Formats: sequence, structure tokens, C-alpha cells
Amino acid sequence: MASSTTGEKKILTLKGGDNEEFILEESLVLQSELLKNMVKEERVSSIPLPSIKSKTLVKIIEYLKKHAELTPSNKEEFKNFEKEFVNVVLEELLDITVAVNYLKINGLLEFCCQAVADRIKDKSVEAVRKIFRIESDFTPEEESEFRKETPEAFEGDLDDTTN
Amino acid sequence: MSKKKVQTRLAIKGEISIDVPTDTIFSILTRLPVKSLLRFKSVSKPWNAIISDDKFTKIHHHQTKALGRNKLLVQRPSGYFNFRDLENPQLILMEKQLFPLKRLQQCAEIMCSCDGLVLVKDHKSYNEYVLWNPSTTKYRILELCPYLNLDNECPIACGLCYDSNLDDYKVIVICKFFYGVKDIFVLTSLKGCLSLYGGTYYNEGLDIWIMEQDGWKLLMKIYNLPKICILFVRIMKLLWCSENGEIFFHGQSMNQPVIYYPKQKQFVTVSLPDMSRDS
Repeated sequence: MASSTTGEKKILTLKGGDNEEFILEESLVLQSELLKNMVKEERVSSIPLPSIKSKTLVKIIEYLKKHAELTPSNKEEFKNFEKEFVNVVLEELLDITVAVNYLKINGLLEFCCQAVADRIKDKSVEAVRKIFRIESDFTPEEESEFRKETPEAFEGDLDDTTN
Repeated sequence: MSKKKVQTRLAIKGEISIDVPTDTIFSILTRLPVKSLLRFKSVSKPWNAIISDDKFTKIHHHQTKALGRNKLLVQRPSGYFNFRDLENPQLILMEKQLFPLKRLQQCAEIMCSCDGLVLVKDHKSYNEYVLWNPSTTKYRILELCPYLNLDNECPIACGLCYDSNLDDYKVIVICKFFYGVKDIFVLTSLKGCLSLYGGTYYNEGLDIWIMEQDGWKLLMKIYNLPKICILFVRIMKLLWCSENGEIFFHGQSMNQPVIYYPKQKQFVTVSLPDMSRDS
């Protein structure tokens, strides 16, 4: 059953949104539930991911490699890597989060969502709308109603920046 | 006018537009503090719908339990409730709040708390209990069990605990002070579980029990109380147990908090430098 552990490693190609190709060991992509199912069920060797930018894919592959090397002895190093990993502009972090959600890499998804939450928790409503590209569908009256209901939520120094 | 502005910006940036799927938005929002959530309800109608949903509230509640910072709630003579950071050695003041129900502002007494919910009682009345969630500033007046006649008997202590079978919280009240001839016990909530503490009234020892999944467990024995047990439990309320096993007590008459360190077997009174300022 485990006879082929030292045998030749299977290679897989991922195609990013701008047609750039990434060749990597199949064992790495098994961390993604989506890709795991594709590989197991359809036995494909090349997977197109048109919705994911190459830049984002590079980051995710970097994470997969680091995560595969994780052992109890380099836990600290991995934590530092994680910290650096999400230390990018918010727009890029959201791109990564959306892609990770699509690929279903569960541990990384939780980490990314927490990172986004930490970055937006002190932002103003206007800033959040810009970040998520949301147009308000409330009337100004309805909006002021929210402020009246929970004034304390709108107090303090709120961050208007989007990065 | 502003709407037009938004549209142009969207049009320009449209090409790199990221569409964040609802389930991702959902997981991001479950990791935000309540204050941010109250503000972000006004981002858009879909966001408001997510945040106001009961299922979201429950998941957020469990998430916060796993991640949340432990706060010490201290009642001040001014009627303000102060929230202090238990994970900071100086117990710095995080925020203060007045009790939302006006008529109880001066006479609310904290009974116990569990998972961020606080059980408060009108200290002049025996049968008015209010459940308060300081994070949302919402409260609910509890209707007492009709079989319980508390007019003549003043409850000694209350416990609050989560019952996973009912998916709801339970309030437990005890009215007797003495059990047996010389044992006294008081109820509270520790680590999200129901807890009892007490001992033989003339001894200087205190046993702390906690009710876990598989029954009652002795959490700690303290041998060197500064007073005999009966006096100690009358003036000190057991509030919290940290992960290292440090036990926080608080004087009933708005004294300073006292921490018991089990390793050193020592009681230490915490002086809070900004305590006088907020009274």
C-alpha cells in the first residue's frame, strides 16, 4: 500500500488567470480540497484556474510549500512566515482570501479571514464600502438611523484608508 | 452627487474587481468585534442581513468564545461598570458603560457572568433579575419561575451556565447559606461552567468545585484564607479563574480586586492606578 512512497513524484501544472503555468508536485496541491478532488477523481495533470491571478497563485504556492515543510521544530519560523504572508496591501490580501476560499485550503482560509478582520475592524463604513466595492443601498435617513441606534459603534478614531 | 462619484470609481476599477463571495464575507464578519459589526450593519442591506441573522450571531458567539479576551467587570460607586483587560498585568481599563436600564443604574448588582453575558440583580429586590450583554448593550428582564417564591428567601448566590442540549443559558439560584451543620457554599460561574465554592465556616480554607461534562470536579483547595471561611465568602465574590489557575476575587463593597496565586499560595491585592479617577 505504502510501497510507492519513495517512487517518482507526480507532477501537476496549474494555469493562472493570465495563462502563466506553475509546475509543482502533486502532493503539494492536496492541501486544497478542490484540487484534491480534481486530481483524485479525474486524474488530470493540468488544471486551469482562470479566476486566480498569477500573482495570487504565486503567493498561495509559496504558502503550500512552507506548510508542507512544517514540523514541530520550525513552528516559530512558520508563524513568522504567516505573519509576513498577510503583510500585503488589503486588496491583495482579499484576492488571496477569495482564491483560498475557492480552492478550499481550510487552515489558510481561517488565517486569511482573521487577517482581513483585523485589518478592517477599525475602519469607517465608507472605507469598508470602498474596499469591498459595495455601493450603499440605504437611504441617508436609514443610515442615520443606524448611527442613532448604536452611537457608540461610530465613536472614536475610525480609519478611512483602504489599505 | 456622491452616488455618481461612486459609480465612476467603480467603472475605472471594474477591471480588477474582486467579487468577494458571501461565504467569505460571512467568515470574515464572524471574526470582528461587536462594535465593528454594529457599525458595518450600515454598509449595505446584504451585510445588514448577514449580521442580523440568528445563525450568524450564534457562530460569532462561539468564535468570540474561542478568541475573545477575558475582561474583568468592576462596578463603581458612580454607577459605571468598568471593563478591565485580564490579560494585561496592570488590568488596564478597556471601556466603561452605564447599565442600559435607567432604573437599575444605581442599584444593579452583578451576580455572575458566563460567555460575556452578565446576570444582574436589583440589590433591593429579591426577584428582579436582568440578563445583560455589554457587548451589544442589550438586556432582557428575566421572568422568574412561578414555583419559586423568592419573596421570603433571599438567594445567596446565582450561577449561569450554557446547556448544550437546550442550546440556551440556565440561571441557577441557591437560597440556603448553610449545608449540613457547618458547611457553607456559594454558587458562581467559572470557565463557562457552573461552580461552587465554600467550606467549613470557621476554617480558613476554601474549596472550589466546578461542574464539567462528566460531573463535579474539585478545581482547587485554598488553605490560607485571610479570614475564616464564613467571613471571607460574605465579603469576597469569586469572579474568574485564569488559564494559569489564578483566582480573582472582588470585594462586595467595591473594594479592589484580589488575586490568589496558587503556585505561591498567596493573596495579592491589585492596586489600580486609575481606579480613583473614574469614581
